Amino acid sequence: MPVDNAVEFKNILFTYPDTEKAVLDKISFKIKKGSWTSLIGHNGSGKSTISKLINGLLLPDSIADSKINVLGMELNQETVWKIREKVGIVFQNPDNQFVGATVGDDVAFGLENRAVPRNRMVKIVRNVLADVGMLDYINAEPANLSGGQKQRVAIAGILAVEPEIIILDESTSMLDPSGREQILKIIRRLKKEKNLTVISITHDIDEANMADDVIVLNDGKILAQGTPTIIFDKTEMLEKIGLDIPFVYKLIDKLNKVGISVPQNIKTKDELKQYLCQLNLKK
Amino acid sequence: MSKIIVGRYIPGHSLIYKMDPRSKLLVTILFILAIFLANNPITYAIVTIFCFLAVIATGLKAKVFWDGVKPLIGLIFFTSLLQLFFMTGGHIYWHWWIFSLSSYGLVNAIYIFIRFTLIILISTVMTVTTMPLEIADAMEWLLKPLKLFKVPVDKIALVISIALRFVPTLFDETLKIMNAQRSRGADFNDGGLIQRAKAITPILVPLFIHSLETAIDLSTAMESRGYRSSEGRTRYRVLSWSKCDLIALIYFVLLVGLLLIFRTH
Amino acid sequence: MSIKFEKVNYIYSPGTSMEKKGLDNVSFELTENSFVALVGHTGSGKSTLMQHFNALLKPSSGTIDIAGYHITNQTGNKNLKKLRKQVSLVFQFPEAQLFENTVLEDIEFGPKNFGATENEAKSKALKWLKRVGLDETIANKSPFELSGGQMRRVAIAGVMANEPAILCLDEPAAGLDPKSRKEMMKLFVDYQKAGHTVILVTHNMDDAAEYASDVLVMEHGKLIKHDVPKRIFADRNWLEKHYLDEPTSSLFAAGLTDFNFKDHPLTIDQLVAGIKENVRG
Repeated sequence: MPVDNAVEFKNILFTYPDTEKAVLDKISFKIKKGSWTSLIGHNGSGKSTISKLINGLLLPDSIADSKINVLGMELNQETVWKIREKVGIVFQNPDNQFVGATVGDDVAFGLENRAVPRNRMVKIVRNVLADVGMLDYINAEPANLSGGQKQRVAIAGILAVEPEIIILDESTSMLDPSGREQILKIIRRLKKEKNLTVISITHDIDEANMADDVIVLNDGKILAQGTPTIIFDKTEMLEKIGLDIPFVYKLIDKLNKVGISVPQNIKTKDELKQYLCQLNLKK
Repeated sequence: MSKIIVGRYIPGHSLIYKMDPRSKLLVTILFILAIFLANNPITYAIVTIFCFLAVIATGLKAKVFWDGVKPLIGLIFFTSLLQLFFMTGGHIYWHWWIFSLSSYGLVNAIYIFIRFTLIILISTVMTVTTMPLEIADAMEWLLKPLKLFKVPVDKIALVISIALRFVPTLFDETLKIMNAQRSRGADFNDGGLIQRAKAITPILVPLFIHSLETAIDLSTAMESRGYRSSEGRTRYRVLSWSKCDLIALIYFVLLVGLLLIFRTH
Repeated sequence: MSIKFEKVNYIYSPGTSMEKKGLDNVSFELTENSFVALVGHTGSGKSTLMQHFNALLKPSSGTIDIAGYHITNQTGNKNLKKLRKQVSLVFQFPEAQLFENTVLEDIEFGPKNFGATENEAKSKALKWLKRVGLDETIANKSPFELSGGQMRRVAIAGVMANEPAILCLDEPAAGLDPKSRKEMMKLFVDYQKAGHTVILVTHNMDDAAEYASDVLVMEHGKLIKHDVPKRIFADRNWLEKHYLDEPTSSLFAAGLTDFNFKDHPLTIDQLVAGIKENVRG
């Protein structure tokens, strides 16, 4: 039976040890296979906890009728290693996830853990490094790489074990704009080529605007889930919880306020540009 | 920005660089032992020549080796002087209280001086031509027999390689923290011993916290990448013997042969 | 206080195989009480330049005049405290510098080093704790119990409590959520308005366009442009040539063909005003 959902959370409660307040308060959501889903919410809203729950790095509080399903497998002691093979996480800090002494060593780390024979390992390492444009750096040491380059190596390390889900856990937040752009470009291409599910935990609202699906988290609860158009129309709700809205929504809002009414169906920069140009010609 | 060299590795291309780190480590250790075979002028001359040939074969500037010897020069002289003034025997040139200058003392002081210098030189040859990580790999190989005694050699090797990998990162972080505290008016150069010790706290605490966070992040990343235990893993990095290793071996056998022939029995 | 760099060069690890030029013949002058954006790619020399402001690095050649100090390669390490009281730096991810037992003590560290009495330091610390948007109730907590965003604020309070004449910040809002970002930027703008100079090292061209009166653009250790934002962002070809981003509003405006903008809009409010003028004509 084919599985439609890459990830399914049902009634998940999570409390850190020695604290009382739940970080995640009985949340349920589904993430479609092959989608790009952005998780947004302010610092401390519980976003990063979700990524660690998906591959069993953290375990939810045990309450009745709660479960995590990843690619059709219910997460438990037996499936956790299998799930970790299918879910790769690119973490926030480029330095703190670079295990190997050189780029090649680091990419090979996941393969070594899975006891892949060396001759296959060498081939895979070269292939995935080529995929992220880092093959020339195969012998480079991390101290000589930029943050963006280290994140590309991290992506290669994940690709090496052929995952089905890639989680970007604020992976671009410590990078400069060009580094960020490059990472997103690579992930977009790889998603298409390898039919991946991408879950992106991010502050970058313009990136979220390009997702298929957006989940808004606040204080451990899910406020809304839907396409960017649906989510970013809720301007008031987003502003109330301290989240930004994409540039184009902000602009439309401001234009409306000065008396230039923009039709409801306009949602992208290009559509807005086109509309404004027509308006300009008509006058 | 500040790229520091871990250990004293200096990139290069000579034959010594192409040697397998295992044979390099082994030959270095054996070479050091062989130095102790020398016991007369001829054998000391032989071992000195062999050592200098190895130094030349690295293709590096003499300054590199001088830098290796320099910090220990005081110790070398001190040890030699002890020999010079305390050893008795042979012809005595001069004597005062417990000090004496004898022919034995003189010869032994020279020998000790040479021995010490050669040991430093030959270990420098090893450390400047081998990356720390390779040295760690070679040590793991040398320690392999200990597995029989349940020593977790794989785990130790992984720990060493990760530690080496994080030395430059920690160094950068230290510099950054020092600069941040200097900007807040901290002074690391002034005052007495206690004041200076106190001044270190604003560096040590953040550094400790940083290391802890790094360790937590790193273990999370390792676990999420499927690391379970050091057993049952395959290895990406392999060591392989080459022609250079054979040359080194022949070179070494030649040295020992000559030493055995010419040493005083 | 004005800042003047004259033919400043800085060389990393001189005389070794790793010798590298950090700053290459940098000259500029900033007027008192300005809001300056220092932009450029990673490795362009922004951080190197910033560390010259309070003599953490000293020029290999050339001279710097800042806050009444004259800095050359002859400048010793003595007596720099007075300079550092006047010129403060906030490094990237400054939460890494926290070390004291309590939030309050950590903020007091700077003022005390610069000669404030216990009482002065405490009142300054409390004042800035509030200014950065934190509640007084956390004053006696350990800084390590706080969230990442709160730690950032404590660290910034710890520098601003010195009330320097020149405040230089390296990407102070990196990694913060949008709301905290805005609050932080407002804090720095207010500080500048209160009569101080603020230098913001940033990749964010929207911030540069919105807040700065001067923009310094670095590339490969050279200062390639120093001008007002209006003129920096007017030359789109030049920006493209140097791989620099345009402010979002400016880019959007450029896509509106047949529109006539009196001044090319740099911020969203200028853009809205410009569009209104055009369509209402």
